[in-house]
Amino acid sequence: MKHWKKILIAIILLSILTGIGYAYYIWNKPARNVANERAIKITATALYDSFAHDEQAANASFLNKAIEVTGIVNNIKKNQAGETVVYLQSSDIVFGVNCTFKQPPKAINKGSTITFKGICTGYLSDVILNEGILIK
Amino acid sequence: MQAPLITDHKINGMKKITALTCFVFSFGLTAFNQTYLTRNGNISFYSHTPLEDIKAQNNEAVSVLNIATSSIQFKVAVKSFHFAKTSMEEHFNTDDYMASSKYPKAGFDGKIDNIAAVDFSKDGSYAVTVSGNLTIRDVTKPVTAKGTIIIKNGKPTATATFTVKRKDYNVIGESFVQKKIAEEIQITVNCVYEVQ
Repeated sequence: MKHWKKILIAIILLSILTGIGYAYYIWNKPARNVANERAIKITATALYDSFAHDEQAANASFLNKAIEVTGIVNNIKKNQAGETVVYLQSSDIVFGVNCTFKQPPKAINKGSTITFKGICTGYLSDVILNEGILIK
Repeated sequence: MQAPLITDHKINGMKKITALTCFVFSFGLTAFNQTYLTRNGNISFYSHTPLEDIKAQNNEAVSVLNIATSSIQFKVAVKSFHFAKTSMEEHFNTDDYMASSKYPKAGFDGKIDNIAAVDFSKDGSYAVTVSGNLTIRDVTKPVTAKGTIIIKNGKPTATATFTVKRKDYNVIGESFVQKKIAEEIQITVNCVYEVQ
């Protein structure tokens, strides 16, 4: 009988600990890291055009996915939070792909071609990619 | 008699063309300075309860400010809101809250009611009232907010803080977290514009 009780207490304690551990994991779940994800490879123009032509279909294909986009750098700036933003050229005269870096990248030149890997959060005037890294 | 008449016509015609050219040219010049744009504005929100404070930042807001029509528009990608806690961010995007896969965008389309109070050519801080329609989760409701337009080196910055009742926009959430989420969510706009 005593032995049986001990086992029961051990099981209860173990489940409580697992519960606490799981809650702790959820609370401190690490941020999504695009570097570890397999990405959809596409050019900036093709990505922009997919959204411009059929936004719903493009949302289904790209929204919340890791995207590795290659394009010509139209402009580089810092956003209001001090993060580096690169605008990639597309078929549109003003808008294109809006890429925000998670960490400041090494120097990027206007007019150069870069490959950026980030998460697609949607399409406004630009296609938005953020939490990204420079691939090359 | 004939000759001077023709000349008069020619002169009148030339005057008209000159006037038209001047008009088109000046209109073109003013129009050039009438639109301001940002592709990376900041919009954040804040929910305060005694149990928990929730904050999120979005640095990819698009906003267009047109002086001629006094219109002002904002658009955000819902998935661009980032939280300190990953689990909060994941919850925020689920169907219980923002359903961001179904409704990836939110936006505001309105007017600056007292745009005449702002001198866009003079550095300073100007109090404005903005009214228009706010759309979240495809629910559109009228909203009025007080804000400030700051002109610095010819560039305007628009700031405003206002509250929305989340349930008006069907942002409900699970029943067991209700005490942790404020009924009224504070939204803060802070957009630095470029001349378009």
